[in-house]
Amino acid sequence: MSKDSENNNFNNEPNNFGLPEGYFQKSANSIFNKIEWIEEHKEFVCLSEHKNIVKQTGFVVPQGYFDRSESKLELIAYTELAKQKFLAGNTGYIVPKDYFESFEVKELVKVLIDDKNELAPFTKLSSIKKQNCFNVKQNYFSDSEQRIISALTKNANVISLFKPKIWLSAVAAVLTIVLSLWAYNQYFKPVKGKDCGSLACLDKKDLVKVKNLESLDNDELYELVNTKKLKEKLEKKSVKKIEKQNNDSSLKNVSTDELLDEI
Amino acid sequence: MAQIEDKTILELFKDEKTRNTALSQLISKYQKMLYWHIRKIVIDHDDSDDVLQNTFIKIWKGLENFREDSQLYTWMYRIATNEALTLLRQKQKAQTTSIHPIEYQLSKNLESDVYFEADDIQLKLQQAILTLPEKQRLVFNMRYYDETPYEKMSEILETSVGALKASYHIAAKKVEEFLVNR
Repeated sequence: MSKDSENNNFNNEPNNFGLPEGYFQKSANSIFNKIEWIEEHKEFVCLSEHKNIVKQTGFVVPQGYFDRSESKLELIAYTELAKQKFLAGNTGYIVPKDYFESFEVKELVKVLIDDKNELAPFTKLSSIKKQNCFNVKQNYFSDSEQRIISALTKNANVISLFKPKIWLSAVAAVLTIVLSLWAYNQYFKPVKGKDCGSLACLDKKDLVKVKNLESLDNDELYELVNTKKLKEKLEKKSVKKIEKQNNDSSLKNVSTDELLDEI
Repeated sequence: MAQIEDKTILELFKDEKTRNTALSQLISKYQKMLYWHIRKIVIDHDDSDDVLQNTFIKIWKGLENFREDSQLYTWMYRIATNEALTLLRQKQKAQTTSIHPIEYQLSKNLESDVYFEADDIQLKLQQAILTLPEKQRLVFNMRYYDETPYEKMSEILETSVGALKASYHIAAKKVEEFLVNR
């Protein structure tokens, strides 16, 4: 409320009507502002005649928007309250009409509050004798205890990979594998075909070669032969023959007694 | 024989010399509880036996790193539950010929199970439980048969008490409907 000095009538006598604080100051400002605005827009006749255009922007908002946003904005200051409101109310889920009044929901709520008589609504279920119908073998639990203990103690024995015995046996295993591979390669090499002098040793390729050779005439054969090499080979052979003959002849001249002496 | 405290078991476990005693005590204290919990999930005795063994192996291996901010009991139950559910999932994967969920097969097997002795209504109740989704089945078994407090159940299944209560209520309703209508 305003001060007492502002709240006086023309006779400067106090009355019972109240005014907002600084009312006269504000209203004078407002009047001055209006006069100023009219003066400014004197030249713009159209604008000043339809001054409502300024207020009507043409933009519209959904119905009740400001009412809703007002309540939202109010909650900005009260975050906890806002959380509650949005968690409880505006989840977007809808429920059938009178859902919360239904018997089922009432029962559920009752159970949530008090769980002592939770089976009371279920007459059939609560009439059944509560018993365990599952059985086990006789002495199952005492036997199983032993089995579990033995399984666990077995399980607890962690085998260390750094035991020398294990390393030695690993090395031995690797050596055995390497040696056996070497032996296999050494003794089980595929035998190359050798001429054994019988038809069994003939290879298919050789037969084809022979057939090809048979079909060749003398001139073709002559072309295939490298004459130079053949000449060299023949010369070498003849030299060897002569040497052999010489050796044989030298032996003929030696007497049997001399040979026996040499032995 | 008076049951040994979990704290004492853990103390025994810490000492290398008394470790085997701790193991023996742990098994004798919890094996029955865990077995029945597993059995209600996997139904078959042989499967339960395997799961129980695996559970204890995991418990034994993990005990060294067990932080005592949760109870030993709830930690062990959690392992047992996970192991049992893993087995069911593996069975479901291995089941290539049927389009039905594994619970359907378990329900069928129940009728011929030599380790299951029940009258018609008990069989029907088990079949009804087997129609429930995995989580609801767990909650129903723990609450209906073992009468496990919701707070403990909440620690084991890592679900809020409110959600567990709602889950149990829905499960009980489904079971009731099955019993009445079929």
